Amino acid sequence: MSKKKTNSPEHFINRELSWLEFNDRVLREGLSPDVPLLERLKFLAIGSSNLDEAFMIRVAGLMQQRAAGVRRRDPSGMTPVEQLTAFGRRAHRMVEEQTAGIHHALTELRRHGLVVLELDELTSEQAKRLGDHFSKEIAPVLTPLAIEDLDPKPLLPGLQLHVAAVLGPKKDKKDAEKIVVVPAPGSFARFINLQAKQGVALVRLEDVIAAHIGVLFPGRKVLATAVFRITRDADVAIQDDDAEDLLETVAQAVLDRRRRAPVRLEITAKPDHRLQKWLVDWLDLRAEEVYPIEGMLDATGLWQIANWRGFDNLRIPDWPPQPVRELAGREDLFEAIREEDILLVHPYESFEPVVRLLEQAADDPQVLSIKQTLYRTSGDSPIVHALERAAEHGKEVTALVELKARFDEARNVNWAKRLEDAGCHVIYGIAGLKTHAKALLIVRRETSGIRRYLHLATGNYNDRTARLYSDIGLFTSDRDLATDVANFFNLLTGYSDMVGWSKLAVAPTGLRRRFIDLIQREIKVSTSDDPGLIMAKMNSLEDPQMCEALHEASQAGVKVLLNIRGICCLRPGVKKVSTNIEVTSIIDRFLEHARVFYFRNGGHEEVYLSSADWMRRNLSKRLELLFPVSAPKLRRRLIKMLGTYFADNVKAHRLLPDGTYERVAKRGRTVRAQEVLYRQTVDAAKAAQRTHLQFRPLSRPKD
Amino acid sequence: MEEPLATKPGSSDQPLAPSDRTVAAIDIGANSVRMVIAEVAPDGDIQVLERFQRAVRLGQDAFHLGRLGSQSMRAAVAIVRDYSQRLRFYDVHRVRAVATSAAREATNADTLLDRIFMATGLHVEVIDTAEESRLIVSAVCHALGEVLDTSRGEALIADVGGGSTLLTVLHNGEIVTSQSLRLGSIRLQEILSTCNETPKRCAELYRQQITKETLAARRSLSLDTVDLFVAVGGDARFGAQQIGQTSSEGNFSVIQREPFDELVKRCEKRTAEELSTRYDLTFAEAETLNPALQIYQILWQRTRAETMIVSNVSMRDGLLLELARDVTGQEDAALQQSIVQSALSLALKYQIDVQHAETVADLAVRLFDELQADHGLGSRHRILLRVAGILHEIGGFVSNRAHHKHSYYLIANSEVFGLSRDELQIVAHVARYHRRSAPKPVHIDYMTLPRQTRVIINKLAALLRVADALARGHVHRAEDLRMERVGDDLVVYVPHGEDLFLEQRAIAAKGNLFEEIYGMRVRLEQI
Repeated sequence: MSKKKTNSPEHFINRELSWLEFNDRVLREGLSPDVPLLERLKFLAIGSSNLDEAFMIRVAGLMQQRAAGVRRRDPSGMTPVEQLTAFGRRAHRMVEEQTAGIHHALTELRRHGLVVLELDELTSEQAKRLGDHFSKEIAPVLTPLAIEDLDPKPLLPGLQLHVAAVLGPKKDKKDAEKIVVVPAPGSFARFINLQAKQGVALVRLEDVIAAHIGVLFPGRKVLATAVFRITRDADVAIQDDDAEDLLETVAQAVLDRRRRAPVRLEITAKPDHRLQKWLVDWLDLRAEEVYPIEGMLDATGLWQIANWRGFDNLRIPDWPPQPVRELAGREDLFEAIREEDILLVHPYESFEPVVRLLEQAADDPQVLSIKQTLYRTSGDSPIVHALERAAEHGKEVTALVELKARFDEARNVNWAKRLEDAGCHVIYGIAGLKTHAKALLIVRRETSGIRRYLHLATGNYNDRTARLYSDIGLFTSDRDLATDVANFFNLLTGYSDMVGWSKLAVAPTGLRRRFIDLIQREIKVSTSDDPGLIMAKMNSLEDPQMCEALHEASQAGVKVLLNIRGICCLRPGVKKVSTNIEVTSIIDRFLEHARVFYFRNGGHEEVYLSSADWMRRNLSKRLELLFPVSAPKLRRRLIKMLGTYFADNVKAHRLLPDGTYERVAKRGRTVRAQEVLYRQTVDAAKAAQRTHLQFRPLSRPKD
Repeated sequence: MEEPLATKPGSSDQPLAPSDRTVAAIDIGANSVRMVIAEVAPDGDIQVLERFQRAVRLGQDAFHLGRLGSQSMRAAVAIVRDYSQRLRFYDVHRVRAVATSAAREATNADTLLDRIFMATGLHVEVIDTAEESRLIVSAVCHALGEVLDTSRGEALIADVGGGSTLLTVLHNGEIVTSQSLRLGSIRLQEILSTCNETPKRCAELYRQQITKETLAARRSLSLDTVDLFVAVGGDARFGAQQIGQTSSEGNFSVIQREPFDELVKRCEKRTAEELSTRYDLTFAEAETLNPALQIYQILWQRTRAETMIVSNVSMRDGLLLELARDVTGQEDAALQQSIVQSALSLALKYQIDVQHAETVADLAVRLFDELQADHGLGSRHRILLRVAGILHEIGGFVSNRAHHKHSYYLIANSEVFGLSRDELQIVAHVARYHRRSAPKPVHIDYMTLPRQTRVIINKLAALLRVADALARGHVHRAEDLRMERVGDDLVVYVPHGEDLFLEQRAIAAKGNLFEEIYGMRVRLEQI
């Protein structure tokens, strides 16, 4: 077979457009009649805040490039300007669908007694009560801005709703028309409860402000109103991990000038012409950067309704985390881990053992030290408390706290200081590299010698997100892995430079190489009788070198199955390049977050877990780990799990050669991966409990 | 000499406390300071707990100016101080810290050692190239055992370091020769001042220098018959990562010639900066790559080996093996065999009666074992005694008059594989005192040794004298003799029917030192 070039632009999908397709899949869940109504609102809200973030970071970054005159093409061959145009076009369409979807969902909600009213639907009594409420409760905290007269103009905050109005001239004066702006205060709930006698009746805050804005400007007539919302550049100079690839090409001067610059204006559709023109001129936006909304702006407000008390029939049933099967009836986690490696598959299985292991370690006199990476951990988390206690008990405790995690700074510093006060050695990240690896190392001196216990994972040490994110952790006391992890911490703490690894692969120095080696080995052992197989599950695939390696694998006849929740820049199904590659994506109730990699390796199957996605930033600018799962039982379980993901025909979408996605067709038995996995977990936990049923007399509780 | 040979309570029956089984090896090299902490299982199995490595260019000044620079010295002390914190954490008592080429060649190395001692309480030994080779070879043999044994012809083990290249040739798993070349990745850069040259020019300069040095060594080190080339060192490991095939057990990699030559060619074109980005290396790693790869390449070209075997081990693994033997009290038989082999080939060179020499050596060791409780020396001393037994008469090659004195300086200036300079000094002295005068205050060489070493020499020389006396008449095999303590006498029972006149007379002449040291007389009796 003649080999085709593996890196031509037409073999790649643009990263931003791929991301938009991901968000489209999220929104599709919000439109799906199969999804309970209140859950749909959640997906709509998530899709909306995702889009906000994309504008603040990705679109802002591209606009920075445009301003700086960057013409560099991305791997798919697009210039920044082309990307902006394509992104805008797709985003406009998406917003229209989303707005219609919201309208549809809210209409349907009415049938269930949860009613969001337009103001013209109010009874006169309701209207009167609302007017009173406005004057008494809302008006006093509003800050009307005569924006035209102000110089310098105030910096209206991004993502906040504002009501704009055109006011007529004051009576008896030769005064001109005037534009005013009233920010909707963030301290108020988005929806005001009208305290209906039956069901729930709500109105939107911005509607109420718009309707009563005249009260704030006595003597003037309100000629027109509109609700608008500005999205701004997220001030990414704080070295944001999601934009660094865009910004490394942009001069500092441009960055400074464009800091917090507006990137998008959402505004009620068909606003007063004068109003819109004035806003667009003032914000210095192009026409295509204005998003007229024919309905409700800012769907993130829907969370309030989605979480409304009651209405559980409109929600999915709770799937409480199950006890970890191998730990049924086990008191001593050290003993359990010594006996065998243990897999923790969250959120199907509880995160509690990780917390319990730390708590046990904190109080165990044999434990000498605890080292841990903490990235996006909640401050009052039991993990942090356990580390504090361990330090107070005189153990050597080292915590690597990653501060650059976006939007988390203030929260992090606070509890990190507390850890330091307790005597922990706290490291605030590694200069130039973000520590994304998730590792916990406990060193214990036992009668037989030093023994190390590890927890390595695909997700963060965050007991809250562990209930929503699908992540996988591994408990092990494997010696070689333990030495590798100990060396890894010595690297982080500056005790040592990089030494060789025996089982781990570590980004940024060898992870990409290792992945490529594994792919190339698969190519080598693949024959036409016994073709190779690679299955990989991750959040994003964007790294061009990884894409090329997969193209080569496909050309060599290796079957490549990818389950990628988000961005996928690899274009599948291109003749002679990627016909053996299939890409699916699952969006369901849990956020798919685990990174699992399978290589058939001529029958000597290997499975790895990692903290890293196949993205340039993960492989080149992060400290990330890849570790093998070598216990046959656990390996089999992961392979089966991957099989389940690829069998999904309910929540799975398939990536098509044109870069769009379609739902996987339902053929035969329906398989919804998350549901299957949950049922299996429940069954396994029950079975484990039955086998470990034992009667344990309890001793008198301690005071 | 910092009690390198102090006896250690290894073989006692007491189970060791866990922390007694934790050991550490520190290696202060020309371009980095490294440490490995490990735990030794009761069966001698070594489990590495942590490895450390920090770049510091001690070799830079040492090879250029013959002195260690104050900045790199300060950095080295800081690193060892950090390391010693980790030692305290694991409560490690058995630590062996050694320094190699940079310290060997710097006139002010003592300052570094003293500053490290003051900062951490750790004694660092500067080891010579012979000992460094021995440690590497013992680690390689331990890791590759079978591969080396099954090779038909000769095997070359080459370790390219920052300051020196250590070469050992083995035949059937036994050492034939061992030599060090003044060639190293840092040394080449320093002596050729290549820092401002283009990569192409650097490669030419390196190649010339390497060829020159290897040709100079050609006379004493023939590589033509080598058909197994074993490379040790970080730069060889880089090669293995790039183009090597890992063995099924993962303990070594195999590199083929053609891809290796291509790799060298690719790397030669690049500066260290470029290598570092291209191959994800730290700058320190990238910097040594080109000179080291070229040394391997030129050595390889001089052999007839088709492949290069890259072993993952290092000198530190050799140190760990020794520390492990300390813990378990077991000696490495293969290594001992190599030492004996090397001593025997030295003995042959001086054309002595090897059979007699081995008999004396066996008898001496037999006495050593019998009197274990009296001298309290360790297994390392046992091997020194054996070597002294084998070599005690080589001075006869020079002249039969006062041949013990000739033996002394010949041994002191020779190389026995596996023995350090200090150990060789002991062997030389023991041989010197195998006849005639016992040690006296007027013997300057003897008196300059530390007291502890002098005690060891006395104890061993006393045994060698008796052994030599026992071998005077008939050829006794050590295993035919029986020994017993009777009162203040050591009675040696000899098989019946032999005339013991010669032996009796020799004992009378040579037993004085024994009586003085051990407080007993030797008596011969027939069974």
